[in-house]
Amino acid sequence: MVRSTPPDEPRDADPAALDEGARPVAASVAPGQRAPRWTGPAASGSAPHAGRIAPARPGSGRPADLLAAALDEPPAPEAPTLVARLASSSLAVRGALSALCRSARRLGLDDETCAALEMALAEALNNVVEHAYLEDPAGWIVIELDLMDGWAACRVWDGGRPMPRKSIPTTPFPDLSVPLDALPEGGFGWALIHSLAEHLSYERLEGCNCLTFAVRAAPGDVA
Amino acid sequence: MDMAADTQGDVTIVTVRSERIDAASAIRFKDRMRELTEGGDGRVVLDMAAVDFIDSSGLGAIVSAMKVLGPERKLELAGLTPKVMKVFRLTRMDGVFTLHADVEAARAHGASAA
Repeated sequence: MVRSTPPDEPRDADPAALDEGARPVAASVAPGQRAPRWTGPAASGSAPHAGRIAPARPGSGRPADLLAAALDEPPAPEAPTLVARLASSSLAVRGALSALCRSARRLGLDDETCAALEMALAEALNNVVEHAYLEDPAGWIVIELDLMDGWAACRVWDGGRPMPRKSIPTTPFPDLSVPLDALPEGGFGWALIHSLAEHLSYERLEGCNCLTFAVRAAPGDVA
Repeated sequence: MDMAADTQGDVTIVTVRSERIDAASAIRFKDRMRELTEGGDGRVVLDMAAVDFIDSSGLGAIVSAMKVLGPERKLELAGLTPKVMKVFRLTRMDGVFTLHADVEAARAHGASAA
């Protein structure tokens, strides 16, 4: 199994955050903290990002800048950034989601966007635990979250197996017009992500998976 | 997974006291559902009023619990909170289950059908 670390991230940066348990990330979610300067392998050697040039690569710059580029808008101004590091276990995912949403709400993210973010992020993280790391809790996951006006821009890193065909699955919601005993018990994850999130992108960067997406409160959508 | 069951007449109310039915608790949820409903033969109403969050694993666990009950026993859901309802709506699972506003509505529904 691939066990690489995120670019520029010291391997033992935060061993406490990799402990599996009830409070795996609370200490590593730092409101207002700048995202680590992972310019990504593709951009390594370039000047450290200063938020002035909207990067074109999912692995470089801030999630907020990626979204600004996707929206063809100028680079996003300084935005609160949350970072969470966690182990690849479903319990750690639960802790990270709670901690991130609590912090995001405290920083002013509205309830609706927060709900959509939590759902989309949960599915993305569960996929990492289940498919990228095959339920091996020794893996690492890093989440970067930029909060903007009406948007939450998110990037998820992991060092597990690549996405099948190195691209984001586009599986639709499973067909439910089947007999009771044939009803699907899974296969909803990516369809949920697609229906909750926008501007999805995925890249495999030096042994790491890098998934970015953005979430906003859809008009008229009652969370 | 904190869950409890109360059977009155032909209705078993299973109350979920945990806030989340997610990937970390889906297996435990299925086990508890089986323990709490085995031996009975009436309707089962799952009271989800305390559940604030469900992911696709949790949704799958509820579908699984419905299958375990078999075609003779109905699994109905009550008290879905907004975020939980949204997941049911997006996946169209809201059309698969009978949904009730709360446990009282679920009981009344059974009484009127009887």
